[in-house]
Amino acid sequence: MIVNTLCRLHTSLAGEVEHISPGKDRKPETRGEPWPTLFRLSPRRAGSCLETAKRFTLAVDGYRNQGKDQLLLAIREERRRIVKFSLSLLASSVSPDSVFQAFVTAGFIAGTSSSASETTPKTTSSAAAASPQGSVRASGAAESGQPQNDCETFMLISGTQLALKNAHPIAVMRAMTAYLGFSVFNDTEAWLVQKFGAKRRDDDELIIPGDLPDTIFSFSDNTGLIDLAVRLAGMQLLSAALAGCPRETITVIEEAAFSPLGAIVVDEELRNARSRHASEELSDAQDAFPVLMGSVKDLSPRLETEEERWKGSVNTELVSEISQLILELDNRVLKSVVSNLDTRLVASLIQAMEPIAHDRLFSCVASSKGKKILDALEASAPLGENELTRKAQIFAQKVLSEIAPRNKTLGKSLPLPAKVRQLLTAILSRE
Amino acid sequence: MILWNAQLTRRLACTDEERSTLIAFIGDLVSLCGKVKSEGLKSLAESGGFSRTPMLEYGVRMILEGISGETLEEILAIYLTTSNFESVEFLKQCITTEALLSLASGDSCDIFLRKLAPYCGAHLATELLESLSQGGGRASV
Repeated sequence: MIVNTLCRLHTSLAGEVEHISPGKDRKPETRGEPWPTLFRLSPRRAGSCLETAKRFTLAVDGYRNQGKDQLLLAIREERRRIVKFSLSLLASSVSPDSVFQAFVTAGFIAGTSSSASETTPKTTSSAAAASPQGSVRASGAAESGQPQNDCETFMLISGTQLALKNAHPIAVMRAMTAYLGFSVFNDTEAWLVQKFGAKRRDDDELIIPGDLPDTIFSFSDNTGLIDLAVRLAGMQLLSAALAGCPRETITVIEEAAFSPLGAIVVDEELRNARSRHASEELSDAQDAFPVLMGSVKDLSPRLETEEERWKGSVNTELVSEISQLILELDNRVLKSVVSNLDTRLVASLIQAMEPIAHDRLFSCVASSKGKKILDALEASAPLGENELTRKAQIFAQKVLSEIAPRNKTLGKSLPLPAKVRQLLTAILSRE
Repeated sequence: MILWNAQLTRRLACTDEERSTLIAFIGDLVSLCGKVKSEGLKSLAESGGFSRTPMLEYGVRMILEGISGETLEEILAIYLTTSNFESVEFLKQCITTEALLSLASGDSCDIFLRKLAPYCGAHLATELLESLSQGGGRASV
């Protein structure tokens, strides 16, 4: 629940929430802002905070990709004391829970008399009493005491905590800029795409044999199901499952469930998964993902598979007429018609037949022809109703021409059983 | 365990009349959850399905950036805490945030509703959940 996190943040920001935004009086001053924030920074100061967040994020990214030496270099080159301090906490790998206290100890945050006792757990568990951060007010007292410094201090605390939890630098940047409100959201996104998109590269594919690519392709136009499976799986399982898949499969997932920035994160997580996990582990994850998709499908009756959607769209009368015709035709006629038909047409017809008609059809063709029909069936895509009707009509015409005598005199009806005549008429009269 | 903070409690305080408007608000979010299950977050975001509030719109964009779980909760809590909203408006933003976290973790619509209902208060939440059970497991808000 969000309430606990809000309690913790309200505790750490206690002085600021009370001091900078005292009650409902503040509303007129922030009229027109889509998301007014309590840190009322001028555009110049907000820009300065944004620059700090960018430098910190790039240092975190350098640390993730190039190791500690790169972070130590960033610390040496950094001019601001508070940013240097934040990066040094990252380099020393302290516990994320002690970051806030470290800022207090270093003098970047001044303690206040505000309500330490106000934040208490509703349960009686004293061990869990409030957050580890206590109730203090960030004043930037060590520097100028300006609100801008408070904002920057809190930004750096959140950024350092998330970086220590190994969050992606994009998430670190989002957390830091959250203190500036949604007004910088789009600019931040553009900067992130520019910085992290530029580093995107096409890695060599690692192909681990499995059914996942086929499963994903079969659901590729069911974005609801893919999206749900991706959210349920989480980034760790998703990246491990996709790490052994071809690029096309990864693209299907990225296009269905992620923005361009999200796709950059997925690609990076895939690279990490390939280097972190053994092939067996990736194979296990690859096997687990279709199981998850299957359970999502079972849980969501509204989410149909491609096959179910196709079945729903097929005209059952047409299926019945074609099946009946196959069953009613004379063995010699059926054998002659089917052996002269293109195997792709027969494969298409099989899509619109009941199983008993399949048996009859295959029983009257040679085994080599039957194998070709099965291959064509494997390669064929499900057809819509119009296409199936057209194929059924071609089949009916072939039956007619097979039955019609070569020297047929005009005005004389064909020697057809009544049932076959009725079925042929029904199929050929369809529009 | 649920933490408690006096300042947060003051900020969330609202009248019963204001609180009763939350039922329709949660109902809208539950309908949105149903659409997400069939269309997916990205398709719905691209068709403007989340543009009604900044928190919903930008929150969904962060989910599509691959941010989820504890990290998403941390970021959304920063937006809420540093915002100037109070009373029922603040409560609505909290409910929206809870909804975003639920969407990010792929919860079913029933679990989604069960996570949001407590924000109405014990009495209204019970009514809301009873209407759920009478509707054969489907939200009828």
